[in-house]
Amino acid sequence: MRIVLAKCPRAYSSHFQENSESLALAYLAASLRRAGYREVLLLDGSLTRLSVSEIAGRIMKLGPDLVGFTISDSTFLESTFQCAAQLRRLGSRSHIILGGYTPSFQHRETLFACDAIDSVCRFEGEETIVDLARALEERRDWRKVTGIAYRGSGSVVTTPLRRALRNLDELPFPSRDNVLYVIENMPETGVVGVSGSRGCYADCSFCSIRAFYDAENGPPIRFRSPKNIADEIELLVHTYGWSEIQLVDDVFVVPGQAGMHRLTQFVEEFRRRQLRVMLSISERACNIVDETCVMLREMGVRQILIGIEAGSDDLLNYYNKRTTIRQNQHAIELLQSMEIDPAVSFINFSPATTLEQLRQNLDFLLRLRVNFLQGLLNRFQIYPGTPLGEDILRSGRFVGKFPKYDYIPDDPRTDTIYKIVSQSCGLFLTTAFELKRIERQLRRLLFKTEDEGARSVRLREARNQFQRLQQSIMEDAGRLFRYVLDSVEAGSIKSDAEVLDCVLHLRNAVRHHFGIWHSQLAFFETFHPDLSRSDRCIESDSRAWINGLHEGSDHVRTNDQNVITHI
Amino acid sequence: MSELTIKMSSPTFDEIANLLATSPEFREAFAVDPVVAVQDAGIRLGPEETDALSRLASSRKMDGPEGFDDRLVLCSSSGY
Repeated sequence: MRIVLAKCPRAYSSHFQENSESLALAYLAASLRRAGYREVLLLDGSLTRLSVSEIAGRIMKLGPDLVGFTISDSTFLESTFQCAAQLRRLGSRSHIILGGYTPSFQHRETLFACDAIDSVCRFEGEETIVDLARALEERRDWRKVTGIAYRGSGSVVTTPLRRALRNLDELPFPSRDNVLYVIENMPETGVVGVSGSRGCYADCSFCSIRAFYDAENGPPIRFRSPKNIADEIELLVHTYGWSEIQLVDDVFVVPGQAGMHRLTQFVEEFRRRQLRVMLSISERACNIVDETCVMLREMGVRQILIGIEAGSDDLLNYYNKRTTIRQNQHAIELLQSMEIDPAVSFINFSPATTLEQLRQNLDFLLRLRVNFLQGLLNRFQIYPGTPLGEDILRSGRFVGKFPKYDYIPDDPRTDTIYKIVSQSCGLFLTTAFELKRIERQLRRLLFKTEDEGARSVRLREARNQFQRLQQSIMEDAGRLFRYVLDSVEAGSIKSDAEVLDCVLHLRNAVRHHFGIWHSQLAFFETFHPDLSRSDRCIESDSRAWINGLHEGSDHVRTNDQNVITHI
Repeated sequence: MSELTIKMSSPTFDEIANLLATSPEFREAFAVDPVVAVQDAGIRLGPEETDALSRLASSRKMDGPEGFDDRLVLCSSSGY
């Protein structure tokens, strides 16, 4: 039984390169291998930048019995449909199954949109993929596998949903076939992720996480034990020498005594093992308090992503965030005072956002003194299955069709603003990435040198300088955004010709400012006495070990450096 | 970003970084010609520093998209 688990690139060109392996594929592969399937190939074309044709070509060459595609979000659907169709054109008779958020909620649309697909896996896939492989191998009727949907005669048939996995510690550690690709090809930007939980106890109206896990009738959030997570992190550190981990959990600390107890267990596990790893987590602002931050810092957490989402309490209520802007600001300031880098996610444009709220959002973001360039351009996305997404779809306040829906805003002027910035401010995103990269470089250096008195002091000063440069960039960006906001509010941009005129004018202004930002950042990174691009999160001894691993192992390396194992 | 290896003395670096963070006029001038901007600001550079700053200016690459797709902004909004 030969199985390929694949991920296609996004449907359209993107300057955002994927910088981490797909944990979804890695968990599926691990489950299949534990079930005894040895010929399992991970083909992450999104990470390794393969085209749809290249992915299809490789799959054909391998001739698998089963092909599973993961769909992280709807932007991966079109390319995956193309790949599946191409496989059929090339004569593939493999069973093709898709899984992930969009196929889970929109299995009918998915199956009718692409008849090259045999089935859709709904919700968690570890048990389903193993059962499907067994059914195919034993030539049993795969249509009886639990947790799938398929095309029947003129309609889509669904089998009963599985119950959510109860004990996540029972899952095997994810297969890290692609971690070497990340480490070797993305030493500055690559991310090695660990999943310590599934789900979220909060119920934000825009978010797909709660909706996804609620559908399985399981608890809203399930945790692996701190020991089990520390075991995996320790294995990663010792095997690959990578000393920086992103815990991809949607929320890491939970409130109350249970949360503190869990955090204490983490600290003890890390201390007992003398595990020194720089961690990045996501957290809700309401859980960022002094005591928690001290413990997180002791664990090695040096960056926390907070979904602050809006600069107005009315909008936070609309999103059912159950936080306030005051809490959000306090959380950011607390992190900054404790030298933990805050990162923010933000939804600047939503169906309900008013011009006044766009102004409040901008003022709030500027007060936070963080890199908000992505958030400023971020527009609410309709996710079927979520409370807000379903509300919009039911009420008909949307345009477009599967898989790309777009909302109709209450105030059309906000759309005019979005239209202008989305055609003019792409360089904001380039700058946001550069800022993140340099901030991460500083964070790594600070983490490494915390015990080296003089250098550590010097690096703290470097971080202060960087933050001041960053804030000057944010203020420039804020002025450009405010210019559009003022112009639209004044009624001077209404017709298509006026919009185009504004787009052209703003493009020039953004390009001019980008030149200034780029100069500042290039100067800072190039000439700072303590910064060096050779400071990366992999230790030199480990690099030698990894080189040895390649030379002496049965890993097969292809031209594009993709690492193929177990096949 | 440039791959120059020459570092500046800390005081010189600090002076320039401070101006970049606080003076819009200096930032504009620095983007046009860093060596001239620094000299006009009265900061003295050694020959190696002058050379390295000149090379920094000539090695700059400015690229990126003018527009973007809304779905990609969301997809890339994580901390990393």
